[in-house]
Amino acid sequence: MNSHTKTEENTYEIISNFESTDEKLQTKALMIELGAAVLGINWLLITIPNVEIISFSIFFIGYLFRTKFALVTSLVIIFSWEVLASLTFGLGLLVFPLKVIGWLLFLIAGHLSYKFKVEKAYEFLIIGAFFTLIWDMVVTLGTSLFFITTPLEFISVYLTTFIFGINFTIIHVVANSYLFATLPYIERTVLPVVQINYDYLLQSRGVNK
Amino acid sequence: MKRTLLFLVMLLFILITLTGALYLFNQNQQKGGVSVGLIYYSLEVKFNGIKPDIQKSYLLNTTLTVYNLTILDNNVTIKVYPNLGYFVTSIDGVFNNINRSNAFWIYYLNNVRGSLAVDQMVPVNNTVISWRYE
Repeated sequence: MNSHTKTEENTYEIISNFESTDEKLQTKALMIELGAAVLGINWLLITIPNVEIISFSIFFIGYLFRTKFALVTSLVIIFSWEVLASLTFGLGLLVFPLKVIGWLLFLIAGHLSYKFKVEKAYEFLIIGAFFTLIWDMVVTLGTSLFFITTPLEFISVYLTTFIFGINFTIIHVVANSYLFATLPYIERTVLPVVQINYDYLLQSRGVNK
Repeated sequence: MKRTLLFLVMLLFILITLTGALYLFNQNQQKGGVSVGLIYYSLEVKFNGIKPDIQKSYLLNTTLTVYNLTILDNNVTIKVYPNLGYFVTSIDGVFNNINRSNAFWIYYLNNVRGSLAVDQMVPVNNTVISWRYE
């Protein structure tokens, strides 16, 4: 009897180990799928200036998934994209840390939006526009930060750079606002599919919503 | 209520920032935009083996004289000639005719020797300013 219980315990242990390995693999698989999808779509948009889906994707990932998974996936996307597309061009390497900060703000915004139960399209639109503007302002810091030495020059060059790039900023803000406004519809489509296999990675929707 | 207020503040921030920047951009375009456009300078200081050479890039919102550009990050001493202008006597502790005999600081703009005193020469956008101790 005693040995039978022990065998049962061992079996459970083996099964739970398998399940845990399975979950880890599934998590990694989803991470890779998400990363590949975002990078692929963004690559298609690369010829259109300042239209990108990385910001939206990171926000969406932050909105949908638990902190650890969302953070790791976002970093995978950011680093893959920058190595693939941006670091070798112009000021790419210099503004990279600022881009990371900007994108992490999107992640935090996504997480907080879920916590504060943001659900309406117009709310997402405003959040998208606001954080895109902040992202542009943070990344613009790079130009002045790396070239200018005195504080006065820094402020004047920063403002000049921002003003001269305003057309691109407006394109970025408008494009992202549109994308963010579609988030509730995308969530409605994506969530049921993700819930089937990856319920354990989602923020606790059953409790809050 | 708080939430609506937060969204209104965000919206206001977006509108003010974008319209303000767009307004300033248009104002600048109407002015011709040369004096406040971004000016790129590259500055080299070649110490002729006495010290490691320096190379820096500057992105400015205004043009500068060669003198003003050089003193941004270097210790420069000058001698003033009333009718001619400034004459550089040392850069970062390397003096004309002292650290090396018959060697003087001479500036070049895009590899062409400067023709005016340093306080009178204003390089155009995208100029490489090169100081050579020779």
